[in-house]
Order: sequence, then structure tokens, then C-alpha cells
Amino acid sequence: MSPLLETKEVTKDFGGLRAVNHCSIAVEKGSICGLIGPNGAGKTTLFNLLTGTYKPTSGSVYFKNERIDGLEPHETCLRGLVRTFQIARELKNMTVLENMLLASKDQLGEHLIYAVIKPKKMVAQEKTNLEKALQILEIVGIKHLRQELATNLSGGQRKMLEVARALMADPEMLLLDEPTSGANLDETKNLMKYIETLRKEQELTFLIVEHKMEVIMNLCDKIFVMNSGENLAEGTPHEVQQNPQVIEAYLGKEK
Amino acid sequence: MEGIITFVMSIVTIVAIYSILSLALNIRWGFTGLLDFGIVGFFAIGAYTSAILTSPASEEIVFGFKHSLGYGFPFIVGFFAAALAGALAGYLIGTPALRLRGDYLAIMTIGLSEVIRYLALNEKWLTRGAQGIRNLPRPLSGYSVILDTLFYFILVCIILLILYFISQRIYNSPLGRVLKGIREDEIVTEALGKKIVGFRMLSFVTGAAYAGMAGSLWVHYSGAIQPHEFVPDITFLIWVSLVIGGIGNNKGAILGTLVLIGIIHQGTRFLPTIPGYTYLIPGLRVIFIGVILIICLRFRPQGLIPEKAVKMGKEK
Amino acid sequence: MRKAMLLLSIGFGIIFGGVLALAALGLSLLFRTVKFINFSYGDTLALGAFLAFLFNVTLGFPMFLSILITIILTAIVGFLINKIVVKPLKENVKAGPLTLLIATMGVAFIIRNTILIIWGPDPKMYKVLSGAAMKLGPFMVTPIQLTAIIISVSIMILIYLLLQYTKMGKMIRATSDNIELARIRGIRTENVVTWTWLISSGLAGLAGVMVGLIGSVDVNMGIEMLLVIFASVIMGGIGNPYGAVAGAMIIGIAMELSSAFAWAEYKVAFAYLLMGLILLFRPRGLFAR
Repeated sequence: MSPLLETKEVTKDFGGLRAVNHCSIAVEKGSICGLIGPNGAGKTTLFNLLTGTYKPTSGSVYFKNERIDGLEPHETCLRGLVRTFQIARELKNMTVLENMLLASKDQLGEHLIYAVIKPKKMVAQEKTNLEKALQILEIVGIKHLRQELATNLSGGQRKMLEVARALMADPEMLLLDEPTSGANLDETKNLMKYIETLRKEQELTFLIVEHKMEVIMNLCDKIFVMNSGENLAEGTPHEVQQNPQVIEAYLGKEK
Repeated sequence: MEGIITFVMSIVTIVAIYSILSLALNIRWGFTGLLDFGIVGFFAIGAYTSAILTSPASEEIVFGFKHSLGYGFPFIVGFFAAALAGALAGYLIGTPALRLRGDYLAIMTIGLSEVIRYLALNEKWLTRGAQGIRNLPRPLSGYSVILDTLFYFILVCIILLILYFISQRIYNSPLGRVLKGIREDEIVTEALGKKIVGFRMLSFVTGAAYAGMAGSLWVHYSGAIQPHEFVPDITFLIWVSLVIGGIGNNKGAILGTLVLIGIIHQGTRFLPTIPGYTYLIPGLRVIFIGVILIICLRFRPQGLIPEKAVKMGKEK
Repeated sequence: MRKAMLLLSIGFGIIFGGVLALAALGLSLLFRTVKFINFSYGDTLALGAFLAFLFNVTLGFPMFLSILITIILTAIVGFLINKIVVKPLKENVKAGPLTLLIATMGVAFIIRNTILIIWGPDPKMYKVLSGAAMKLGPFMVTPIQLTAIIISVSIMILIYLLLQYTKMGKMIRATSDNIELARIRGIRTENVVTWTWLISSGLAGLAGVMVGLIGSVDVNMGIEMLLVIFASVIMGGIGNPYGAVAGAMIIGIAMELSSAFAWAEYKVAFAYLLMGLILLFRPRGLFAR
């Protein structure tokens, strides 16, 4: 079976600087994959290439067997590939709930006519989205903050909101950029469990950038290691841990 | 007694028309974060469309130019045409202009509003240039002055209420949410699957239609139109109204307009003109307004009515 | 005949472009340092023009002295704008560039209406000896025009030297490039910002007098010049002062050419059209850094 997400020799240059160099990775459906590497290795750039924020200088990106590297970020999202951001980008002056509801797809109320006339169809849809949002918020543990302005949340709570919001967008695959940074031990454990559950129950696929080794090693089926824009190594957590090149790249960079 | 009533009605009418402009700017800036310094341009487009369509046909020769435009349509045609013209202009102008970010858009829009004014001034075959167009009709023009004024006053208020209602609906809807998302963080909103370009355009065009309608209401209120009315000063007044009232919310927009236009602008209308210093009072008025803007930005940036977070309805 | 008109237009375009370049340099310099657009720049320029009128015509001072006093006064106005409006907003409500743009729009209207109250809406002219046009190469220039462009170019060169070779210039450049880094390196960035305001507004005042010399002085020149300055700065690449100079020359010549061949009344509109096109296809300007 062909992988859900695949990059083929994808390269990104910024002027003279090569941020990503012929990177080829493949993520199978239903798997939880990790993406690790020192700072500046090109991980977030790779994410941006996957979502269409950047267009590759060369190479290609495939999602569900469809070539997506020419698409705009909103288009890749609509196709089921949803990302979160390394530094949480909560919509500050909107409530947690508004943040969540924004992410729902195919909202009738986003059309002017529907917004003004407010037909029953639209109201019903809002209600459904609201219930879904509350459910997700409950699981990640910030339901009690739902009417709070997002800017009032703590760092860890904001990251939870990032993930929760991404889930509202009906993803088939989630690109999580450091989802547990700023989160405390409980929040981290909670999130890890949730990711496992989502994979099991909804067959969601994950590609996670992480620095916390215990998260990566315990959660991921497969790990990609990047260094200086290149795909240095890949394999199971065990394999990667033993890989001498990886160890060298990470010398002085653990935890 | 009659004089006072007509005076109050006229002030309220003016405030109401400017409030529509404030609502228009609020949709663009308050909701969506589009820095629009050119709202007066769309005001002008709506105004001229309505004026040209409703003025009686004439073959007058003015300054050597034969002005034969004027189709004599009734007010209602002018009004809806103004809305459409505004929307169309919004679409045409928005297509290139909206590609610009923040301050570039501000520069572009103020330039465009001035270009529109130049066009109005120089395309005499269309607009009769500086001379302007006169004798613009109202719905009840033929009847008694009181009836005519009263009817128009009520009409303007009703239109304001309808547009306010529409603005509120938009604000509290998923559409409003997307617009706010764009205002807060375009990148995230796009990453969540929303086509930014389309929504910005929608906001821009809707604001343009509002401004166009305000333009039509304005010229039929004053009965005449001249290019020198449509200067950036009006854009400035609307901005200050919004800042005072509270950016992002419609009630604030109207309240701010009431305070600024109603009290400060119109309220000082009847101050005597000091002979020899014709420009003293009008000039001081604008200076005062400028100072208020800065003071408001410094001490109460959220305005009189701060934007309240939209609390979703009833749930556990 | 056509050729004569063409040369005349290009000639005046160069003159106007040179003066415009001076103005554009001032705005661009400020923008690079404070990172927001000072909307009151155009009206500061107009203020300069009117102040020179006050000294030259009303008070009868010689032009040279009038210009000197004007530059000092407009520099002070810039200083005050920063001190009274910009700094308090930045420090107390953490105003961002958009808010400061709106606030300086307020300042612009305050200045413009002060001018209106004091001098009224009629155009003014300076009391200078006007000479007949002389032939300079293929162009015809009057002594006043020649003086204006010589002054403008000289000052621009002076500014260049200042930025490149003096300590203040280096500090300004460092602050423009990276204010945090500059602060860490011990540069008193607040002082640098103050000086930049002084220089920028002084340039505005000087440019205003130049515009008055080659054209006329009237209350609307502020917004008109501002629009054309914007066009130059954007054309040249916002944040690149020398690009702004080049942009100004292009805009100046283009405007005069357009007025010669077609729509004279639409000169400014044409500059705008040009700017709009540039923005569409090269939003970072022709010479962006």
C-alpha cells in the first residue's frame, strides 16, 4: 500500500542557503512518526513545504497519491493534511471556543447569505460543531477555559488548543510541531494518550516534531532524523537510538 | 418649534449617514483588519452613481461642455445602483489592491480615493466637474417640505438599522469568525483551510456597497453633489469615529459617529464665523478632532465600547 | 515642436524628481529606523514651505536665512511629534505600526489645519529674484530651478556622507538594521531615533521650500506630495533610501511626461497608477534590499 504522505527528493533554497536538501520520507497511513533533529535542521521548513506555505525548489510532495506541492496552505488543509505551529499561534482576541469553531470545515455560515439569513440548516451545523468542539476540549483538558480569551491561556494550554483546533478541521493526517513544548508532565502524558487513541479509533496519521526524547521514543512507530536539511537516518526508535551518525549529530543535545 | 425639529432631524440624518460609513469601515478594519484609508472613494462612487442616474436630463452647456447626462430615474433606482456600483468598484479595486499588506494597502487606498476625486473633478462630461450636479430628488420631493424631510429622515434611519442588523449578523456568524481570524492571524486562518483572498475581498466589497449606499443617501439629503466634498478629511472623520467608539464592534461604530459627527462636528456648525478669520473655526474643529484621536489612542484605545468576545450560546 | 515639449518635460521632470528625491530620502530614512510610516511627513513638508514663506515674504528675510530657520523649525516639529505622540503611544499602549500610522494621520490633519488657519487656502509665492531660463545642455532651466536642484542634490550627498562616514551615521544604520543588536552593542537607540526624526523632518522642511520654489505653496501640497513620495519610496523599494531617490527621479520624469502628452490634470493620478502597477508585480519595489 502506498504511503499516505510522501516526499520525493524535496529541496528548498532561500537565496544561497539550502534549508532542505533532497529529503525523501514516507509516512504510512495510521502510523505515528517522529521527526527529530538539532535546531536548524530544517524540520519546520519541511513542514512548511508539506503544507504549501513554501513551494519546493525541486522535488515533490504527495498526499493520498495526489501531488500537493503546488497547492496553497488552505488547500492542503482541506485535503486532510493539517498542521500546528511551533510557537502556538492562538487567535488572541478570540475565545478558545471561537478558535475551535473557526477550524471546522464546510461551514455554511461562512457564506454571506447564510450568515445574514441564518437558516435552520446553519444553526444546526453550528450546534454540531459546538458539540464536537466541547468534546475535544474536554479530552485535552481545557474545556473549563472555553469562554476565555485565548491570550489568557498558559503556554501549555495554548499548545493544547493548537492540537485541539487542528482536530476540528477533520484531518486525516496531523503535522504537529512540538506539541508538548511548554506542557507539564500531566499534560504531556495526556496528549500522548490522546494521540494513541486517535490513531486507534480514527486511524489518524501523525508526523510529530519533538525534542522530548521520552515522547518520541514511547509514542512513535518510526522516526526520521534530520540534520542540516538532510534526511540523516530513519527507522524504529530502537534502531535510531543505536545509529552512530544520529548519536554524533545529537552529541550534547539530549532530553 | 418646527425649526428645532427640522434641525434635530437634519443632524440625526447626517449622523445616520455617516454611521453607515462607519459600519462600512468597521467591516473592513474592525472585522477583517484591512487598513483602509480610502473609504471616501467608495462614498463618492455611490454618490455620483446615484446623482447621475437621478438628476433630470439636461442639455445645458456648462463651461463649454455639453452635459447631457441625467436619466431622471427615481431615488430608489439611484440608491440600489449606488450599492451595486460601490460593490463593483470594490471588486475591481480590490483585486489588485488587496494583494498588499497592512500599510501598503493604506497608501494605495488613500491614493485611489484621491484618483477618484480627480476623476470626478476632471471628467466633466460625466460629473460636470467642479460645478457639480444639482436638483437631486428625494422620494417625496414634490410634497411639503416637512413631509419630505420627515420621510427621508425615517428612510435613512430604517436603512441604517437594516445595515446595522446585517453587520451584526455577519459579526456573530461563522463568516465573522473567519474575518476576525484573518484580522488576528492570517497565517493560522489560512492553515485552517480558509481561502484568505476570497474573504478579504468579501469584506472589502461589502464595505464598498455600504459606502456606496451612504453616498447615495448623502447626495439626496443635500440635493447636490460636488467633487470637493469627497476629500480624505471624511475618511479621517470616520476613522476617528471608529477609534472613539471602539474598533471591531458595530454599536461602538455608531456611538462613536454620534459623538464625533453629532456632537463635535455638527454641534459646532452654528458657531459664528469670525470675520477675517473664516478658517479659524473649521480649522480648529479638525485640529480638535485630531487631538481627540491621539488622546483616545493613548488613553482608551479600546474605545467607548470595547469589543466583547463572542460568547457562544447556551451549552452546559 | 514635439521634441521641444519632450525636452521641457524631461527637464522639469528631472528638477522635480530631484526635489522629490530629497523628500523621499527623508521619509525612507525615518521608516527604516522606526519601522512605521509617518503619515504626517507630507504636511511637515508643507509646513516647511509655509514657514519659509513667513520668513521670506512676511518678515522679509533673505531666502537663504529663511531656509535655514525653516529647517531648524521643522526638525523641532519632528522632534515634538516623536516626543508627544509616538513615544507615549509606543511606551504606554505598545502601539504597533498600524496604530502609529493612524495616529500620525491625526497629526497630519492637525498640521494641515494649522496651516489653513494661519495662512488660508490661497497659494503663495516666495519673494525671490526670478531669472530668465538659460540653456543647460539640451534643457532650459531658470536659475531658481537650478538652485533648487543643486541644493537638493548637495544635501542628498551630505546625507549619504553622514550615513557612511560619521559616527552618528553608523549608529543610525546599525539601529535601522537591527535595533536589538544595536542596543546590545551599547548604542543609545533612543537618541538615534530622536536624531533620525530631527534629520527626517528637517529634510521634509527643506524639500517643502524647494517645492515652493519650483512650484507654489498651498495648503494641499502636503497630501499631494505625500502621495507622490509614497509612490517613489515604494517604487524604489521600501526601506531602501537610495532606491527611493531613484524611484523619485523615475516618478518625477514620468509625471511630467504624462502631463505633456496627455492628461495634465492627472499627473498625480498617473504617479499613483505607476505605483499601483509596481506594487502588483514587484511589491518589494524595483531596488529592494
